[in-house]
Amino acid sequence: MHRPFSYKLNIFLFLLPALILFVGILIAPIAMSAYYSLTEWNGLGIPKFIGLQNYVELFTSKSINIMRALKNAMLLAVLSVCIQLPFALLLALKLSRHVKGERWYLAIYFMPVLISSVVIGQLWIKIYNPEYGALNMFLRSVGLDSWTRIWLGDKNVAFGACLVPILWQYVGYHMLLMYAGIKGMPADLNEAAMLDGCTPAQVSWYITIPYIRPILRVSVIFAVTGSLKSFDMIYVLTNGGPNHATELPSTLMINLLFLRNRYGMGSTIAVMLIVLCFVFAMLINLAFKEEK
Amino acid sequence: MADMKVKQPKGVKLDHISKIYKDPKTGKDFYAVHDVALDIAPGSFVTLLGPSGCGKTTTLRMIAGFESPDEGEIYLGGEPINALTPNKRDTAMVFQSYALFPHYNVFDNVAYGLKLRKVPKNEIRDRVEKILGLVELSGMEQRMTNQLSGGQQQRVALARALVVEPGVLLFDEPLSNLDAKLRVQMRTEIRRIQQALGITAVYVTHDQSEAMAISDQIILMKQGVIAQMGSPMEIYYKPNSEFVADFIGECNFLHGKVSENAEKGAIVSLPAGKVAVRTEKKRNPGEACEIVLRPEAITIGDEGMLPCRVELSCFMGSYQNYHVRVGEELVKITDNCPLNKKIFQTGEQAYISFDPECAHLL
Repeated sequence: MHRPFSYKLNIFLFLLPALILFVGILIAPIAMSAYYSLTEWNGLGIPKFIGLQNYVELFTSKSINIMRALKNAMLLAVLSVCIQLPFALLLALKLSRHVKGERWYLAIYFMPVLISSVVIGQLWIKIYNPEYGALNMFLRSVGLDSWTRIWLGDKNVAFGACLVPILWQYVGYHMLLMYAGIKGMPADLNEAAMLDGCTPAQVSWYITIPYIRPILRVSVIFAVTGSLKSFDMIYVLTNGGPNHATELPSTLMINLLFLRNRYGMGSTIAVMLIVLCFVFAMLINLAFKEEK
Repeated sequence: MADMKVKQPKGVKLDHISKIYKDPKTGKDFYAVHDVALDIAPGSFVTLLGPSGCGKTTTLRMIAGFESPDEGEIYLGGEPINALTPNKRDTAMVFQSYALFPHYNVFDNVAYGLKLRKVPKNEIRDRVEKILGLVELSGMEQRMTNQLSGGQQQRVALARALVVEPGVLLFDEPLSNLDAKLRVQMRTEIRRIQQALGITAVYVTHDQSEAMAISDQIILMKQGVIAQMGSPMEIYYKPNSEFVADFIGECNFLHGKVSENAEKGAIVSLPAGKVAVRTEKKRNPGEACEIVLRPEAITIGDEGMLPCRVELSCFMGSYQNYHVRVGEELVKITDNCPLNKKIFQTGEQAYISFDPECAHLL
């Protein structure tokens, strides 16, 4: 009679360490951020509870200008979904068709994912350097001197210049996810479609892409939430400048937290990011919902 | 069903085709299929049978166009097809894994090939409904494939292959994933539908009972070459080698020497005695030979042709199973309907007999 209880107790005891870690590392900081977002706090002393004032200020303050940062993040998310993912999908489809040197191509495309964003950022700073950078040197060498810019210092082009390395860095990551999905697809499906009269392009469009739909969903979620949370590359390249032109919610949050010592407001942005990521993940899941 | 005859079943001719692969371990080339030549008549059901690695699936895949022969030419309906891609050949295939598109329902899976061929919508609907009726899946059009049982999925796969009215229908071990009972049921269904439509079918299996049950002709393969081809009865009763005899059903081999040629066969001298065996080919006296005997062709009694000692006697319901020692050789006997017959027990002495017509000399 006591066996089921003892069995459940065993399960609970085995799960307890993981539960403690999960609560301690993930849930507790979120809960604390939620609490601090309702306070005025400089990181020292006792936080002063101010209700929703931080939220009101966040969306109305022109000095913080969260809407500009959000607009940049959304643009990054849209470009990730519309450029980065289709490009990764094309590469995955191509490489999965027994291309000669398949493994080498995979390794090369995946390499930027393995390298630290700081290193990649430094590399692109060199490329964009107005004096000796490869980009301007190339433009000058082909007679396009008028196209040369101070790429990371000109507020009109700085964000565009930052987007290139950010999108480029994670193409290999999404490509590998999709490649694994395509490789996991039974060869019979492709062969059956070919016998039915499909061309290779039709096989990709009508069979392969629908088959890897769950992986595409994960990729879209990662691309969108990753764009909302994006921080490191922008921080290295421009730190949100010039004149906040490349500001993202995360860079704004760091500046508020560590430069202006506004821990309450920084936490407000953190909570907003968590909510946004959660909402977008839900919406994407809904959009990809399959007929059961 | 009369209006569902295929347009024109096509014959298949394999003109000395070979396929060479590289052994990944040794790096050396080897023949997966070697010099296979055969003619498949339009409307016939031919099975490629053999153990794993014998080249049967490679041969089928060459007909489908997924592999290209390194030597020889394949003809479909008299036309050479080596240069054609799979979608340009007039074939359809039922796969071992069914290969149903998981994101399509039953109707869309079956209609897929017709849509690609730009068949008008009304005609697609009519043809899909008819073919689903033929495979007894009417009313399941809107179900997703993961809502079907293994047998139903196999029927959808069959319907999808049939609906495009191919000249030749190819089967790659289509029943391997089904349980034993369903396998028997489905193979009967496949044969019924093939005969009803008059379609040419090439079927790959390693299950000899399946091959016997459904084929007009069996092509038995071993290590890339054809070991024997013929009707199921020919292959069963007139095997041309120990491999064929052993692969198709259970078999006993009695080793001896030809003693003399008789009027309708030969007298074979065995260590346990002399026996007459029917053979069409004259043998040289003194030549070593093997007598192939099926277990059900042998009877056991107090009198007979060769003395034996019973080593195992086991009641199996519909038959009594004996293992007896004849000289040095172990012989298996299936004695059907053992009721009212004398049952020999382990250790008893007895005699075995057989009809010379049912023995085959190798």
